[in-house]
Amino acid sequence: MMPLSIYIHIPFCVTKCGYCDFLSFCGRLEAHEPYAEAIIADIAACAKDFTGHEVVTVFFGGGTPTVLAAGQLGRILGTIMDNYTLADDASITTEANPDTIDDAYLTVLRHAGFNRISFGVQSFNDDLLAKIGRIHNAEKAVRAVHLAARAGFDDINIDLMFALPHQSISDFEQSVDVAVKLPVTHISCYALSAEDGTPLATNKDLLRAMPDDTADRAMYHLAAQKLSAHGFEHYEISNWGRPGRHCNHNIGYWTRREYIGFGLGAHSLVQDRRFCRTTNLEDYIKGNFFPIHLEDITHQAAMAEFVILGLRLVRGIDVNNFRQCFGQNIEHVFGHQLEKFVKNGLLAIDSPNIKLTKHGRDLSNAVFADFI
Amino acid sequence: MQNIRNFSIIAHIDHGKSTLADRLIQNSGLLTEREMQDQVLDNMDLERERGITIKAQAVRLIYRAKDGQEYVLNLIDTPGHVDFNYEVSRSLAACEGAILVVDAAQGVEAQTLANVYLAIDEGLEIVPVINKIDLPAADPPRVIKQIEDIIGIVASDAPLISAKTGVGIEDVFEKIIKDVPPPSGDANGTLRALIFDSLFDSYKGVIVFVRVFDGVLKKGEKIRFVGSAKDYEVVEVGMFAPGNFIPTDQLTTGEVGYFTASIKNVADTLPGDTVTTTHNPTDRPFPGYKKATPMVFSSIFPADRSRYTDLRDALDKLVLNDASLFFEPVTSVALGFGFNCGFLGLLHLEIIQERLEREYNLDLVCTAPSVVYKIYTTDGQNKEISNPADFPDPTLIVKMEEPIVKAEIILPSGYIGAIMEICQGRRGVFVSMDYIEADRARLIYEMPLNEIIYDFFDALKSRSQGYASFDYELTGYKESALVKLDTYINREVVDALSFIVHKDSAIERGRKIVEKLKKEVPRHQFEIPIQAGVGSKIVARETVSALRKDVLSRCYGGDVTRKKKLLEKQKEGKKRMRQIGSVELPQSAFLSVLKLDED
Repeated sequence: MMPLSIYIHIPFCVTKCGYCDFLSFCGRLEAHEPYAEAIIADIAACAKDFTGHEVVTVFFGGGTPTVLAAGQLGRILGTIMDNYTLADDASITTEANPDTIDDAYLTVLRHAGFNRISFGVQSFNDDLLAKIGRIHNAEKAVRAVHLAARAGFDDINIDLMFALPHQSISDFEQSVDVAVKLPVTHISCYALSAEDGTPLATNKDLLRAMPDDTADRAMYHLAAQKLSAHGFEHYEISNWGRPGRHCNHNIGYWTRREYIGFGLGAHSLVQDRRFCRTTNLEDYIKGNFFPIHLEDITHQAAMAEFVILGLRLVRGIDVNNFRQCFGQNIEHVFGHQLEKFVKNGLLAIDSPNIKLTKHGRDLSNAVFADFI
Repeated sequence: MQNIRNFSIIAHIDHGKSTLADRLIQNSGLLTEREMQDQVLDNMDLERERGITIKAQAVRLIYRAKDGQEYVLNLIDTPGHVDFNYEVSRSLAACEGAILVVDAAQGVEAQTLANVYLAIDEGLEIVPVINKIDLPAADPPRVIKQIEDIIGIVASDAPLISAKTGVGIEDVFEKIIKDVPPPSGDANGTLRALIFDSLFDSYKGVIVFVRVFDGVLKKGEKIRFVGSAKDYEVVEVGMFAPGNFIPTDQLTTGEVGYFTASIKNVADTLPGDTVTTTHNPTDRPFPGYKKATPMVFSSIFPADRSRYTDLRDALDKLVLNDASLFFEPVTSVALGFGFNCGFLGLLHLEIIQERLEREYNLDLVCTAPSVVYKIYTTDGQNKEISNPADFPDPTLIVKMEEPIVKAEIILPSGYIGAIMEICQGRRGVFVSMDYIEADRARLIYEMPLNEIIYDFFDALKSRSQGYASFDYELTGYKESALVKLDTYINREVVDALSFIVHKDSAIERGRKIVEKLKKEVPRHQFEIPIQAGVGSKIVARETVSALRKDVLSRCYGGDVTRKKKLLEKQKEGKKRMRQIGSVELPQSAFLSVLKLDED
C-alpha cells in the first residue's frame, strides 16, 4: 500500500502573533462547529480516492488546533480512522498552545487517539514572549509539557524561536537549557523571519531590534551543540529529536511522500500534483472542497524537489534512492551543481548519501536555488 | 523669389521654440486645430519629452500679409544643443534670417548665445521676439535691454508675444516679412543646393533636405554630391507640409524642400555637402562638409547576452538616420560582446542610449564614458585611444594628451562659490567671470573633457538647485599625466570597470568607485575585497563581508510551492548577473560607477 500523510488545518487562534503568516482567524467562535463539520465532510468525501493508501501520519496544525474543543478534534480524527486505513504505528500529532490545554483536554485527546503533541513555546523568557505577542508565559509552557507527559503522550515536541527582537544569545541559551530538562522527545528551533504582510515586517522598531546574521548563526550553532549534547539528534535543518522520535509526518514532506490536506487552504501532494483547498472560510464551511490547482510537477521538477527537500535532512539524499525514483544517475542530472558545491564546501559526499555540510546548512538556499 | 522667406528659430530649451513654431503653422491656416498635434515639428517621442529638437525639421507655410501679398515661409527647425553644433550651423546656412525667442521672465541664456553667434556668423538677420509675456514674472523691458546689451542688436521693436495664448503671432509674421531678406541667387545658373539634414525612410531611402541656392532641382535629373563624390538620379522632389511631404516637379532657386534618389546610406548625404548636376557641376561648392568627429565614447552591451544581434540591428538602424553615430564591435571579459560607440557629446550619448532602450526595447549596460586621448609611445607612434583596455604599458609612454574644453556656466550669483569649487575639483582652470545681469553670472573655465563626462552635469545641477546651465566646446588637446585606474573584485581585474584618469584624481576616484561597488556587490559565501589600483599599486579598498546566512527555517507541506518560487526568483536574479571569477556581479554594479557624485 502507498504510504499517505494527512494534514488537518485548523485556522483559528486566540490572538494573532505579529510574525505569523499562516492562515488563521481570531475569535470566530460561531464558526468552530460548522468548520469541524465541514472538515469531517471533506475527509469522508475523499476517502474513496485513497483506498490503496495506508495513512502513516496525521498532523493537526494551524492556527491553533487546540482552540477547538478536544471533542471536535476527536471527531475529526475519528472520521479519518473510520474511512481510511491507518497504520498500526501511525504518528498522530496536534499542535497546541500551552495556554489552551488542561488535564481534561489532554485526556480527551489521548482517548481520541492522538499520541504526539507539539507546543508552540517559542521562548522561556516572558519579556520576549510578550514582545512577540504570545499569550502564554514560561511557567505555563513548562506546566503544559508536564501535563502532556502525565496524560501519556509518547512524543512531545516544543518549538523554540531564535533571532527574536531584543533576544541575546544568552537569552536563547537559557531557553534551550530549560527545554532540554523537560520530558520532551523533540525540539524544533526556528529563526524568526519577517514575512511580507505580517505586522512585524512593517514594525521598524522590532525589525531594528532583531539580531544580525552573525548573532543569528551563533544562536543556531549553540542550539545544535547543546541539543546534541543532551541526546537530541539533529536530523533536519531546524529539527532535533531523540533516537526513534523524529517527526515522521514532517519527514514525509522532505521525502516527497504523498499527503492530502483537509481544511482551509490546506495543501496536498498527490501523484506529482500540488493543489490546495479554498482559503475562503465561508466557502469552505458551505462545502467547497474543490482542489485548487497549484502545479503539475514535471519529471525535471520532481528531481529538483527530491534534492532540495531531501537535502534539508541532515542525512541528505541517497543516490541509489534517486536512481530508483527517476531511472537516472544523479550525477547525470545535477553533476555540475554537485561538483560546484562539493568543491566550495557546502555539500559533502557520504556514500551513498549526499548531504549539506554544517556551513551548507547556513547557506542552504544558495545550494537549493541552483537545483531549481 | 521675392516672396520667399527662409528662417529658423533660435531659443533656449523651454523658452517656447516649439510652441511658437506650432502657433505659426496653425495661424497660417495649414492645419485645423484638430490636426495640430502638440508641437508638430518635434516628431520623436524623445524630442517631445525632453522639449528638445534632435533632428532638423522643416515646414513650408503660406502667409497672406497685410500688404495683400502671399508669402512662402520656410521654417527650418534646428537642433538646439551644442552637441549638434555643426548640424545647427548647416541648418542656419540654409536661411536668411533667424527668430530669436527669448523668455520674457528668464532672459537670454548661455546656450541661446552660442546659436545666435552661429547665426550671425552665417550672416543671418536676427529677429528678436519676446515670448511668454503672459507670465506674472514677465519683464519685457528688462529682457529687451538685456538683448541689446549682450547681443548688440536692436530689440526695441521686438514683437511681444505669448505663443501659448496666441497673442502677437501676426506681428511675428509681419516682422519676418519685413526684416528677413528674400533669397538671392542665379535662377538660371548651374544647380547648387545645400544639404542641411537627411532622414532615412525604409521605402524611399534617404530623404535629403536641401536649400536651393542657384538653379533648379528637377525630378529625373542626374545629380552629384560634391563632398562624397556620389552620383544619383533624382526620383522625387517636394516641399514640406506640416507633418508630411508634398511632391512637386522641381525646387527653384531660393526654395527649401527635399528629394529622394534611392540612396541607401545617409553617410552619402552629410549636412553641409553640395548638390549639383552631373552634366554641369558647380565650380562654387559650399565650404565643404565636416565629418562629425566623436568626442565621447562608451561601450554598450546588452544586459541579456542573447540580445547581441538585436543590439547590432538597432545600431545599424540608428546610424541610417544619424551619420554622426560611430560604433564597432568590442569584447569584454566581464560584459561579453558589445559595441564601442562614439558620440558627438554627452547629450548625444544619452539620446542614443535612450532610443536603444525605448525604441528597440533593449536593456543595456554601458561603460563609463571616455574621451579620445593621444598617446605618444617610445616606438615613435602616436595612438588615439578611448577604450581603457587599449592603454599602453606606462613605461612605453613618452607623452600623453587629453582633450580640453571651454566650459561656460551661467548661474545665479549665489551659487558661484559652490560651482567654482566643483570646477576647481575637476582640474578646471578659471578663465573669466562676468555678470550678465546683477544677479546672474557667467563663469568660463578651461576643463579637461574627461572631468565633465562623468557626472559633472549632475553635480552642477544638484549644487545649484538646478539653476546653473552649462555648455562646452572643444578647444584642443593639452599634455597631461594620465593613468589607468583598474578595479579588482576578489583580486580579479574587471575590464569594464577600468578608467583613464588624471594621476592626481586616481586615489579619489578609486576610493569613490570601491565605495559604490561595496553597496552593489552581493555578499557571497566568502569575503570579497574590492580594490582600485594603478599599475600594481592599490589605492583604495573596501571589503564585502561573507554571507553568514541564507536559509529557509521552515519548509513543510504548505510551504513547498511558495518557497520554490522564492528559490526560482533567487536563481533568476543570479542568471542576470555577470560572473567575474567566482563572484557574481549585478548589472547595477556597472551602472553605479557612472554616478560617483551621488550618495
